[in-house]
Amino acid sequence: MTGWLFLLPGFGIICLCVLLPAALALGLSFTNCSRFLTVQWAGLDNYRRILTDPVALKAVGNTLYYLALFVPTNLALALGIALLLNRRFPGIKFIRSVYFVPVAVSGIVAVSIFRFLFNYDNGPINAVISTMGFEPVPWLASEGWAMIAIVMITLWKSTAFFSIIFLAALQDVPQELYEAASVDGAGRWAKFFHVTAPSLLPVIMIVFTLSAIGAFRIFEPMFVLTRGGPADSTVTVSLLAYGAAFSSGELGYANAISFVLLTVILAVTLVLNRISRKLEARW
Amino acid sequence: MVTMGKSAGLRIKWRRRLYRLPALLLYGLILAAGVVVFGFPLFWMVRGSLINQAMWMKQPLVWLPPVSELRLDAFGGVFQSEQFRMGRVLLNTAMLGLFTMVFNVLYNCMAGFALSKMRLPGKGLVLVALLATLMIPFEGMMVSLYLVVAKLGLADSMLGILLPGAANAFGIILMWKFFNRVPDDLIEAAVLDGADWGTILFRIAIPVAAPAVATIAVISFLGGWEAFLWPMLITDPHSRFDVLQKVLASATFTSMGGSAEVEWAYLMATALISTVPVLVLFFLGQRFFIAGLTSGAVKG
Repeated sequence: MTGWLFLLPGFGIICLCVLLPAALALGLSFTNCSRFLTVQWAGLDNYRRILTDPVALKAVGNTLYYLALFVPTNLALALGIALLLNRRFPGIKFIRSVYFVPVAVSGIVAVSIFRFLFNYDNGPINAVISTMGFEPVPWLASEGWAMIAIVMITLWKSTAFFSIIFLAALQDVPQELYEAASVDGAGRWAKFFHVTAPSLLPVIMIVFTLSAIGAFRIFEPMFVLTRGGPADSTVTVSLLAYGAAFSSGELGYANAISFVLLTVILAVTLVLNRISRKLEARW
Repeated sequence: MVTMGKSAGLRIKWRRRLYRLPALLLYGLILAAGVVVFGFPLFWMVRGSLINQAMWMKQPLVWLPPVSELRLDAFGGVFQSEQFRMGRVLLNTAMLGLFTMVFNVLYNCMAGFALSKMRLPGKGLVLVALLATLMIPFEGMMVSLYLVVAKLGLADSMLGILLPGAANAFGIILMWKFFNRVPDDLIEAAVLDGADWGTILFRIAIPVAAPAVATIAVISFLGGWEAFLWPMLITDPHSRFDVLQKVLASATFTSMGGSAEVEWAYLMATALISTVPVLVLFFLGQRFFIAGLTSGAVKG
């Protein structure tokens, strides 16, 4: 019995604050629960509404667009930076910590700083663009650029974070493998593709999975900077759920959106984990 | 002969270095470019916190304002300002960080220890449930979590802000794995000596698992200190329980409207106040900090 007593505070909080809400999201998604908590059975109405509501479809499209921009760029940049930093160079330890500093900056602080970097009239990014002779870009105020600007913000923080993970993995690759490859006459590229890449594969899959999950969840920069605008070009699934619940008070609909998001992320995690296990087994 | 051989070898080494010089220079240049890209936003934050609104608006852009134009006014201003209320907000945020840390260390250690070393019917089921919760995204349950916590009467309270982050499935699993490596004999000997479970946990198990405890302490403190979404959801607008990230986010949003209500220097001063403690932690305990952040990703 003492065992359960020890388990209870921690596990109880997780039941109350994760498992119960997840089940509740599913339950309420079949109702038209209002902000006054009057609950009426609605069957699949909320799910049907997601499929027909143009804003909802736009939110799904925007989230996938963000994912398509963010995930490959994040992976390539983080790996590139890790390879760049995985060399001997005077002062490399210090240089590495500068590269990793964005990790110590909170998401909201990053958003707040970049809000000024992207300023139209007196932002440094547009200043550089103007000096190069191009037109200044109306970053967060334009339908076409807002999402790209947001991707740049999140990349700043996440490439730093993921290059730490890649660098740790690179330094774990046994040096003997490189020596053996050298003996076999492998050049720099051959070493990369036959030694580095296979050793990194599990980590690449982890980074891919984590950044895909992060992309599906994306909320903060849109919430703080654009609230989904201009012209719904940065509405994402999380933002849609937030708006349905806390602006329009349609809790049934909000929970249906939430549950779809939850299911998609669960499925993506399981599928990617399975793929990475199969890949590892084959290599 | 010997000396000649040595100098010839040196000469070859130098020639090889000279031959590699352009590549090395290019490498250094790329490194430096990266340092600029990654470091620049931090420079802009510091610069922005030290200049007044007129300097912010100056056209063309002044990249490096003269020292005579720099002011520390914003750091006092945020404490006076009705919108930022830095004294209260800083206290709330520090409390949230510290309490989140204390509760996580305590609850995660207790639960992980129970799962690893104590008799617990239904242990397998608990572990499966914990692993499943790792895959549930916060954004997918924030609406229903709000309903649960509000129904408990904890909306707009410190306890309501604290509760969902006070224990963590990842932390429990981390401690469970760590305690599994502590030999059972050690525990059994203590049981035979008549020690109670509390003593065994705090005197034997936790000291052995110190690195994992430190990892949990770092992640959970950061989790509390940098928390935004949940405190924002569960507190009223302009609540007396506001935390740093919420105040900064709402001031940033207000400033997007182009209104001059918000001094931009106040925004960057708040950002700096939020970042400095984390940076100090980062440079003092870089190894622990990085282990804490990456353990979730790599070993999880």
